[in-house]
Amino acid sequence: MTNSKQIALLGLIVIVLISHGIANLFVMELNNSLTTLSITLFLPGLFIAFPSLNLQLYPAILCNTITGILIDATTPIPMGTSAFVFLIVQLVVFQFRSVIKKNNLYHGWVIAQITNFVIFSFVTLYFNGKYLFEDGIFIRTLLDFLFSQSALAIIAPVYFTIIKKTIVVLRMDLYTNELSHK
Amino acid sequence: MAKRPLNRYRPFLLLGLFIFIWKVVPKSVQLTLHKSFYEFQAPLWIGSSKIEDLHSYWSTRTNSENKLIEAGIQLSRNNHELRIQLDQVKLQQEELNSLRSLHNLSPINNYTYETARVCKRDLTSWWQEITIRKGDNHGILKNSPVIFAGGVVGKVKETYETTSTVLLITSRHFRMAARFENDPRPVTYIGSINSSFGNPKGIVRDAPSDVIVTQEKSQKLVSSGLGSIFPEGINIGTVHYLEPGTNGLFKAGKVLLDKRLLYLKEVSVLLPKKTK
Repeated sequence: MTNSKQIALLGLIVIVLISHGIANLFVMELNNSLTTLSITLFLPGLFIAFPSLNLQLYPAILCNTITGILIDATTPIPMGTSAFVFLIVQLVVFQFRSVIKKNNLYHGWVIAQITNFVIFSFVTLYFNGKYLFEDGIFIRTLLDFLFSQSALAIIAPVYFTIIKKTIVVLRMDLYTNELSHK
Repeated sequence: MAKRPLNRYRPFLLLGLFIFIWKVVPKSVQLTLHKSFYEFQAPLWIGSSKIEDLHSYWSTRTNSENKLIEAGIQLSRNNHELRIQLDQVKLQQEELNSLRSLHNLSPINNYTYETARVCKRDLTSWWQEITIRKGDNHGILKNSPVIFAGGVVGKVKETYETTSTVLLITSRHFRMAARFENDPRPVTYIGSINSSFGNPKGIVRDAPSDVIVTQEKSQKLVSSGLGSIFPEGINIGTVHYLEPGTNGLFKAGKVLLDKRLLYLKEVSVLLPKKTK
């Protein structure tokens, strides 16, 4: 890989990570406001879908690992768990992404929804597995899940479009690096 | 063509490598990584919280002069009342201290208050924590009790340079020794996840069987002073009913907590007074 291509790839990674940081801050602010209603939005699917579907293997792994560790650092989840789950989900998506892209016009949206569902279920089983049916926890979890998926349905397409537009504005080419690993 | 099968499994080899590295890396390195990634994000939350403060400052500035004058008058009235109460408290405190010194007991008020703004609220169905804008640099200590105008907030779980995380009283991992207001016998308080659109709540356990609490005769639950974290007498919540527990010897029930716990903006961390 030439130097200019490496710089372009690094630029892509930086853009994706900065976008993730801003989106994470936005979700945090939303959650800060929603605490009065005791509702939480959990949107990791938003962060996994874009790199998994649009970046090469190594940059995507780097993006998801860093995002996972950033999330682990700010939550009581044991360090490395989110990064590990993000990697598994990303690798599964990565295996089928060319098929998914061919067959589905809204592939990003669908993948974000599915990955969010998988990670939400994982965290729920990890933390509340034993207590899921005690004292209204199931209803709370279910409502949180429904609100999260609905919010994701609205935010994800806008978010992906913003990242793509930013890449275009900065004169970087997302698709020269894309799908080289089929 | 020969490389193709290896390429196919390359992602999973990488995953295996990640797990291997993570298992091999010492705990101290993981902890350092955790702290650095946390500290890296902390300024963003603090900045966002300060922007919110600025927003409320400017929205207050848009109030009319008459409104501000009215608020000022009300505030001076409150200050006057509070000053009188403070004088009384000082007198009582002096009397109490002299009585305690007569009996060779240590003074009760061994704490100083460090007030901190809340910059992040994580009240999920999995964990219940808040992040405050004061940390190691302000002398915040791990496991320090955190309170607000309505009573107990929780205890400091982790401290960082400029922020600290507080385990909320509603967290399922939060336990403390408590007692009913008019009963010196200790009971156990355990946090409970609040339901959507509902008020924060907790659970009281190990209440003696002769304690009677009904909807009409509710009782306040306060900290008992046992457990050496919370001083005695801080409000926890109100108990509206008790029912026999699983073993039949003790009673258990729900504790309704202050609704303001859901939108805390400022809290006080109790820190031990430094002895010279």
